[in-house]
Amino acid sequence: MGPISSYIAFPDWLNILSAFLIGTGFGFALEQAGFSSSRKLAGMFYGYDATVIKVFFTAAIVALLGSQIMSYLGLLNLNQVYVNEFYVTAAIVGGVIMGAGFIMGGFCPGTGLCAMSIGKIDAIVFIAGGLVGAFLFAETYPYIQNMANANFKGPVKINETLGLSPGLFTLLMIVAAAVMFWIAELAEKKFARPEITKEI
Amino acid sequence: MKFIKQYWLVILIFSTVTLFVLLRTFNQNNFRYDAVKWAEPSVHGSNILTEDQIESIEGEKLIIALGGEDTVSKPVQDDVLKLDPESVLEKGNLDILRRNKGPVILYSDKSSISAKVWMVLSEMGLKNIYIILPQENHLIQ
Amino acid sequence: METRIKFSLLLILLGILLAFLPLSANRSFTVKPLRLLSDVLNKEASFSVDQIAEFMVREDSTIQLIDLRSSEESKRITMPGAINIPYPEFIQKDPEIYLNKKAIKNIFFSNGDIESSYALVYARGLGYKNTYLLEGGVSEWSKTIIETRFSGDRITARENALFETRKRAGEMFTELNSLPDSLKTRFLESKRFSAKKLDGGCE
Repeated sequence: MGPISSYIAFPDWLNILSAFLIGTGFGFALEQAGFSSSRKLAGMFYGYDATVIKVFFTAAIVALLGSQIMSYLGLLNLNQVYVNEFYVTAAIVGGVIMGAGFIMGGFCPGTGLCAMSIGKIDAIVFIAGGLVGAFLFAETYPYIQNMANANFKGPVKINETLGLSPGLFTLLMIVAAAVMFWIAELAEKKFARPEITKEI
Repeated sequence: MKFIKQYWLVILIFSTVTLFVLLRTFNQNNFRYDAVKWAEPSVHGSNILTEDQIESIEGEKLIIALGGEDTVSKPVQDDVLKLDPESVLEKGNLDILRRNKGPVILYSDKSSISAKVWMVLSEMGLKNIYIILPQENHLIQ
Repeated sequence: METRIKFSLLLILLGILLAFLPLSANRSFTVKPLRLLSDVLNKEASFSVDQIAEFMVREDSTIQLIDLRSSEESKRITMPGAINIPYPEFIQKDPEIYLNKKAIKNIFFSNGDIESSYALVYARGLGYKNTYLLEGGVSEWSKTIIETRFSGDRITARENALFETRKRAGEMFTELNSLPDSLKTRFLESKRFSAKKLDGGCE
């Protein structure tokens, strides 16, 4: 509860409890959206199911709107919110590897844990594979170090690079989202696979 | 009518948020958004005036002497307004400051008092506020 | 179907509202104006040079002196234990890095009173209650501590204690400032805060 707790002093246990509750909420939201089904997740790639993009993009937009408005009303200190640092090469290579793994396995790390918790065997194997990958990364780090740290750009924000104000950027994101959802629904109709989608 | 019935929740949430945002924007008794912007003049020192600069200003300048016996030791001219530093933010006095058509110049024997009052007033969104330093107090007598 | 349209409509409306707001990465004051003004005008928000001398002699670790002058001035003469944050930098960057340790009293000083007063109002306005200023700044310090002289025949015990403290603090001050530049920089660097990087994210 970092940014809010700069105004009210939260005891340590309350921070951990809120992390637990937020995590539980996240898992609940994923599960009830059907994300523990690998068919639904892979559907994004093959085009017959657009749920993934709708859920995640909506979540991002709500978070974006909420944090900006709260920052304007003085309830949130956005300077204390962590911004991931941008390594260009690592982002591209890592993205390709993760994308391939996603399609082959039908899960991504978060949804994989979600599915594992309801007992799916393919999710257990997927998570095990993920851990093997992490182990290999650590063991081979001296060899890939240069590539991993190449092209460091620091914590960049898109709206700063484009020179837009955060509010305007948010509006553009919302419009872009609406357009993308509409295209995704068209794709759903085009690539429909009744034999899969009926069972989800 | 049917539109409102269908979309009442959307309208409610949107109006509530807009209301809060408008309150925050136009509340006169609060500090403005973006503290760095309103502190800028102090970074460049452009909020401190010398006696010569004040003489050459056109427009109704209002000189305020902040403090009682201990901080404004010399007697003041008639058109200088004498105020307690704490009472600068009282509604009547704030109105005088806001309504003044020219620059407002703060003075005190202790420069820390004028500096503090300047920063508070500037962050409340008042422009055209300046400080004159104790060394240059000939205007006051 | 209905819900989706309502939700999208709400999001678009809020987005349009947001597009008109002058958002920036900078914070605003969180304290109310009247309260802030009376806090900063209060005597308890400032320390006298004698009080600072006392802290210095006792090597009190709960205080942190912050030098708001330019880096050239700070290199020439500085206070033992002070970190140098030139005033423009203090305002333009978020002071969270320096001011966030709640147990430490941060005491601003500059050549006179003006910049330390600005900084005090700014810091307290952003909500940092543990900030204070040194009354009179470096000029008052030089006048009182360094040039302190004992005159007259007899003095009371309290005056004697005061004189001793001032003398000792003056000695510490002169010692630090007579170090050759290279040693002084190293000494000051070791006392510098390193910017606290917030760690987080899904890693």
